[in-house]
Amino acid sequence: MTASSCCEVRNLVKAFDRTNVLSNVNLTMLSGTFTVLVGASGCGKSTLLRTVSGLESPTSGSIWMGGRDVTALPPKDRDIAMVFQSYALYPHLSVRENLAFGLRLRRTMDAEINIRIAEASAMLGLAELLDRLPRQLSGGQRQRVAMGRAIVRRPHMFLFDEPLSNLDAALRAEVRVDIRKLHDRMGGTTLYVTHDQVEAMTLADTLCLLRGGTIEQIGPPLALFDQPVSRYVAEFLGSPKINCLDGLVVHSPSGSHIAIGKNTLAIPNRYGQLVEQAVTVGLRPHHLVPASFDAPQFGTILVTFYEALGFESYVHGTLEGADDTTVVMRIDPGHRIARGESLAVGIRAEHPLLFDPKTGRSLDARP
Amino acid sequence: MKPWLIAFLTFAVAIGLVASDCKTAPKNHIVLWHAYRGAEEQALLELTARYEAQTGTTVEVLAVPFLAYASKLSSAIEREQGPDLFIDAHERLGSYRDDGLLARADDAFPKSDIPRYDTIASAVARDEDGTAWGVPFALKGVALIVNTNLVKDVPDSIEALVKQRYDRIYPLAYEAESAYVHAPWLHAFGGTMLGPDDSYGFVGEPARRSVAFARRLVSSGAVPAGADGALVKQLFESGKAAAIIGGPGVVSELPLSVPYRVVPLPPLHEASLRPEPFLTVELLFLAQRSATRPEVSAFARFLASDDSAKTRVRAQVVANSSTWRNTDAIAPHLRAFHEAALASRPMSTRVAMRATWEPVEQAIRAVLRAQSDDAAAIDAALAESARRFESAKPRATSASPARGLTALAATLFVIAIIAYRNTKPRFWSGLRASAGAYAYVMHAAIAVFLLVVLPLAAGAVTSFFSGSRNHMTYAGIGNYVDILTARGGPLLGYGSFYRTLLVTVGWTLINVACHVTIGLCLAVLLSRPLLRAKGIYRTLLIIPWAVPSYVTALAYKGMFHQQFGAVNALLRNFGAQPVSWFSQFSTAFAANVATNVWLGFPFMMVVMLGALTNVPKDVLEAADIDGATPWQRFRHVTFPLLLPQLAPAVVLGAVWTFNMFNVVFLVSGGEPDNQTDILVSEAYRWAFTRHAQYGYAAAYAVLIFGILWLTSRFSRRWQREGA
Repeated sequence: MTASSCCEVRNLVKAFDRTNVLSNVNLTMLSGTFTVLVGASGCGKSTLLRTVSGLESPTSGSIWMGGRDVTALPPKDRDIAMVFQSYALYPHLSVRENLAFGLRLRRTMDAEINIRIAEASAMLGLAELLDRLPRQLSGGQRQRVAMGRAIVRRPHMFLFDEPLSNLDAALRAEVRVDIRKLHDRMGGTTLYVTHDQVEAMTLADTLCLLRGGTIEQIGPPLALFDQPVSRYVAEFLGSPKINCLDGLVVHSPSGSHIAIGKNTLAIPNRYGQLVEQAVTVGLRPHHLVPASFDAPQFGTILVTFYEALGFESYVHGTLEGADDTTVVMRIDPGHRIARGESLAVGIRAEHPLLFDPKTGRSLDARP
Repeated sequence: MKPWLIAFLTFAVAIGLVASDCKTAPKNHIVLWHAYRGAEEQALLELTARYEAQTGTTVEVLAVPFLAYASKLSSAIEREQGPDLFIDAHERLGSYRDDGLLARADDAFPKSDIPRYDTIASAVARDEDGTAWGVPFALKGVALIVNTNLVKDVPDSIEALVKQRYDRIYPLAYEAESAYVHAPWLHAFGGTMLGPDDSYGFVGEPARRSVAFARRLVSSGAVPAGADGALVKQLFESGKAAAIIGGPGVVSELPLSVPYRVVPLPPLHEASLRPEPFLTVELLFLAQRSATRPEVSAFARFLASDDSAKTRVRAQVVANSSTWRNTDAIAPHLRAFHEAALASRPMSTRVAMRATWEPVEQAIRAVLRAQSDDAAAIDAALAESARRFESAKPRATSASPARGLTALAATLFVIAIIAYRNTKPRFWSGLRASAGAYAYVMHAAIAVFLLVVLPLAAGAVTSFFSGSRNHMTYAGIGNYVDILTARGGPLLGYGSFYRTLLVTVGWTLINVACHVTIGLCLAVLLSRPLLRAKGIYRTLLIIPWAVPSYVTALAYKGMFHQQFGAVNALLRNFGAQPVSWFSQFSTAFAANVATNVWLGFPFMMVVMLGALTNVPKDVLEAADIDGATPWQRFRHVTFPLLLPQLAPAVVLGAVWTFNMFNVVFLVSGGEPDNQTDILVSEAYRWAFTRHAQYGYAAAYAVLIFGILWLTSRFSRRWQREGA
């Protein structure tokens, strides 16, 4: 445990009815950092958060906060605040009383309570709403009250349990930014659970991707995006999803390449040790471009679907000569492509991602 | 055809079918009602079968439960549906005759037959003019039943009987607090329950001496205190009472293992007259509608004949004097009951007799349960009982209808204004637009009207009349004035409306508070996710609710018995003095509350269990995170969230408790001295024990309705403002 770590999870196991929901999780959150837990449904991310909060107690392992073991402590003694997915506002109390609730329980002076409420409501734009009941608020307003309730407490640690999933898309993008700004301003440590990879990528200092109760990969968001340890991580992050093509590494006098059906893809020589090995090639949609001088033709795509989003477009099609594998590519919006057209594609990537087709682990040989 | 027309026609046809059921009786078919059981019923059926075989007449015999007998009878006869012939006690003759339910029985009981029956029985079947209204049938009274293992020779006086000492055995057991069984003592000292001109008889020297005598019996420990009929019988059967005072019904149900003998009540040493018990003569009555049917009279003559008496005497004390000339073949106990009957005093047939029981029993209870033998206390109790009798008498209030009609019109006007003010802007056009829909709910509307609105209106109308059942006169708002001015007595005096209201409100508040507290605690315990065998606890806790309330009430009454109740047995185990639960207000009230809390908490528990599942789990978790202790979480989050569902349940529970007749009537029975009565049980007493003053009772009911209506309106407003 380092001096700057705010919270540490050690060898955590949580089982419900003998099924391990979390197995042997280790996680260190440094003070002032924003850690995002992301993963598919049922991966254990919410359970991990609730165990950190103290709402669930672990089957084994321990949780440390600020240098002391808090595993056996109830939530109220952990100096944390939490924002729930459903906001969990007290329906019978006004916004003001919702904000004051935790402070009153801790016997904070009235003057101090008023100062903190004023501060939080200014920060979140709640000033006009203070005397309303939760049922008189919109979803976004409730969300802000829930955050306000966490802020006024000035805890060492903020926990967010999918706080944006009940908001509409536009609002979600807006509040996402607000949350990050708030974090930077408050200087607390934040643990944030989401299943939305955009939220995960944009908010996190440290991104922790959970899979089946264990940490699949942890690190800065771009590290996970660019150097995924497995095909799972690569597929989880990025939208549209990464294209995975089955191929075979072949050596020829002109250098190493990967044969994907009839198509070939040149790869750096350092993959030489993979000769004759079957691999899964991961190509992100933006790695595929219309063939040009910079990007010589790699294959031909028969367009089956075209999505124009305005600022960019996606082409869905099948790669000819490779068992008609489905691929998605990103192109600039200026192109006009119709269904049924054939499109020569090249590749603009420093390196493709290579995975072991059996284990799904990365074959990236770079240091 | 319009749907509403179809609905209306269907309804009309249904009514027609029901109405056509009131058919006239076919010739040669006689309907006979009785309340007999066991051997008496067997004998009656045997005779009926014999008569059918002899004459070809068909007889329909219907056994009606004793408790419902009188009310079923009068309502059935009034609707022309009842029996042609029925067997009932002679003391009801007066009211039946005044109600016009009876036909003269001169054909069935001609003057020439008078010598055929016991003199007593012949006398009560005829009125002062000599008109016969019934045919003497059987005699019912009490006598002394002794256990011959314990009492070899019956002593020659009651004093001698109770002087005998046994180990843990009462020398004598009887219902000491029942006026019916106390009557022999009163008669022995020269008193009567009802004096001439319907005056109250339980006054003066005879009454004083009789209660003093009874008090000595109880305070010397010779007679158990506060025993009811079932307990007396049980004591005798188990050999814990050497002698009891009881009727033939007790004897017929005794197990074979108890050797007994029946003798007339021995005299009182210190009294000059014989202790005559009350005698009831069962008469065969002919219903009014059978007046013109000679075959009914013929059947009555047959049943009462000396020949039939030979069959009936196997099971009852027949009224035929010839039967008793040769008694060899008759069971010894029936012989003794007959002997006792001849030495008994027929109960008065006056309607006012019914109003004497309550004050007399109050006086007896007050004396038997008093702490000291103070003569002044006895006088006070007697004076109080006389006052009660007088104050319960119907008032001769009469008012010009104009005043009442004005009041009625004013009330209707106020209601109309309230209704108008509460009408939404487009109420009438909305009503017209949905007229078609009303056709579909017409049947329910009609049912509600017939079953709810009509009785309510009838009750309200009744409240404007005063006097007893058969002599109701229009009194305008006289009943209300009487009630609200406490009949001229002190406003908070015993038995006044305000005092009863106070008791009722206290009763309601305490009960509902206990219901909510216990229900809530149990609901919270039961909703704990980690509790094992939850289903079993839940079922067990709902059981008090599932048991009919009168069963529970009777069980609790038994448990609070001073000598034999489970509660006092428990207290004794802890070394505490046994409590006489029903002799003072506080303990009697507590016993009522205990019973009603037992009955009422499951409802609140179930409501709260439902409400608890509606409290969002994450809100509770938010409170945990915010730093709440479990108690703070309950106090500040769970409880406020339960309130919306708790409030209507509390209103409902309050209304039920306010009107909880069963518990009050069956557990404390208003004891001591009606102090624990609540408004409904008080209303009941006005209707059924105090001169049958239906109008006065109806006024009580209207007042109760008004109080509850206002309360629920205000509580609803309060709720809306709170929300």
